[in-house]
Amino acid sequence: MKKTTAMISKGFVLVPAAGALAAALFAGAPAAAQWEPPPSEYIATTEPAYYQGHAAYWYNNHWYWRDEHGAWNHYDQEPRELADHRAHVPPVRRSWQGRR
Amino acid sequence: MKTIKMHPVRWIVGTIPGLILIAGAGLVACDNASSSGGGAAVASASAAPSAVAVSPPAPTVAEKPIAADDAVNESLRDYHRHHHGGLTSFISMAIDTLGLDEAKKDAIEKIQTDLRAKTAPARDAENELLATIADGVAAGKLDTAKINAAVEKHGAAATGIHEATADALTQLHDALSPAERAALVDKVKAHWDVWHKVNVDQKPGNKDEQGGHLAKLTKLLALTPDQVDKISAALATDAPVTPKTDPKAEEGHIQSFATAFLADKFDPKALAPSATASAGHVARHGGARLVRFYTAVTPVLTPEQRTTLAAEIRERANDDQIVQASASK
Repeated sequence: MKKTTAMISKGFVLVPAAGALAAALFAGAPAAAQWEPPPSEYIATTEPAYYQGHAAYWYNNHWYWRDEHGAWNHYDQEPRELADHRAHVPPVRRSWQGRR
Repeated sequence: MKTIKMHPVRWIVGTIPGLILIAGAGLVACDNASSSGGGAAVASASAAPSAVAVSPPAPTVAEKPIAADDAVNESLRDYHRHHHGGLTSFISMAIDTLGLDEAKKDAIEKIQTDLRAKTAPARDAENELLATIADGVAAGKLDTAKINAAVEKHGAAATGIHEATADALTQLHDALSPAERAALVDKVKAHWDVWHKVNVDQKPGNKDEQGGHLAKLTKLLALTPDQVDKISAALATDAPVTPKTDPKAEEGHIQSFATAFLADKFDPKALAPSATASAGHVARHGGARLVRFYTAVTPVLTPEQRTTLAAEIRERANDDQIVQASASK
């Protein structure tokens, strides 16, 4: 019985610890629902890069692009061509306001 | 007995943490594979993988995220508060940020210059309106008759633009690749979205709206709480929408343009009905909103504040020139 009690006690320690570890993994990873495509102001003022037949925008450390249905997508891992492009041509934003 | 009782306990103790870890790892893996969704409509399953799978991952440089609401965004919103050129103006602005190859830039700039020449009368009329408003602000009272005439002149000048720009738009279509056309249409819609946000969605008298017109004015002129309250009260009711100012007509025109411009062959005649239905609406709606705003603001200001504001409004006449190009963070 003592052994059983000891095993159960160990379980009470291990299970929450494992849960905490799993929770840390969730928190460390950007959930799919968390990413947000660039706002209209950003699209209107920023030069895109053209890659694989679409315009891609570098925003919040990701490249975003629209598919043929108009929905936003992003690359979880930056394609090498776009990384090279960004290294040589940093994204340019423009303003139309005033001669100041 | 002991052994029989202990087996299930050992199984539970050993398995539960393992299951939790496996579930956690599985969800993280799912997240890394996901590349579509977000706030927009859900992408088709066939769309994402074709693009995602091509290249081996490259090392990414950790960078400071670009703020969703930074100075360039605010500058654009202020631009659209004061300029109401509608579709052709959005197209010209979209060209400025298309990010074209050097080889193509010269040809496109020629077309853009032609577009701007055709829209010059409307731009001049708009600058005349801004100057008239600035004069009224400086004097402490806006001349209603003169200003209404200026708004109508701007609206009338905007009506002939579609016919005048048909050839230039056809040349533009033919000079761009399908991806560049899609980017241009996306940018035109983005400008429309921002214009609509600051001229239709935002309440002009909302003193609590961050980035709103009144908030910007409060900062520019160091308005007192009492001045803000008075302006907010004067702008509490919405201006009525009339058949000549309803921005929904322009929305239809922009959608017609998007459909026509994304096609392999551009037919400017397909835009004629929506161009006629929306002619001058943006100019009249935007102009009337500006007049209403500054009419409410002017009597509340001190002479020094009026001088500062008049100079600020006159500056808006120079907005049409691109003078700043800034690399993003």
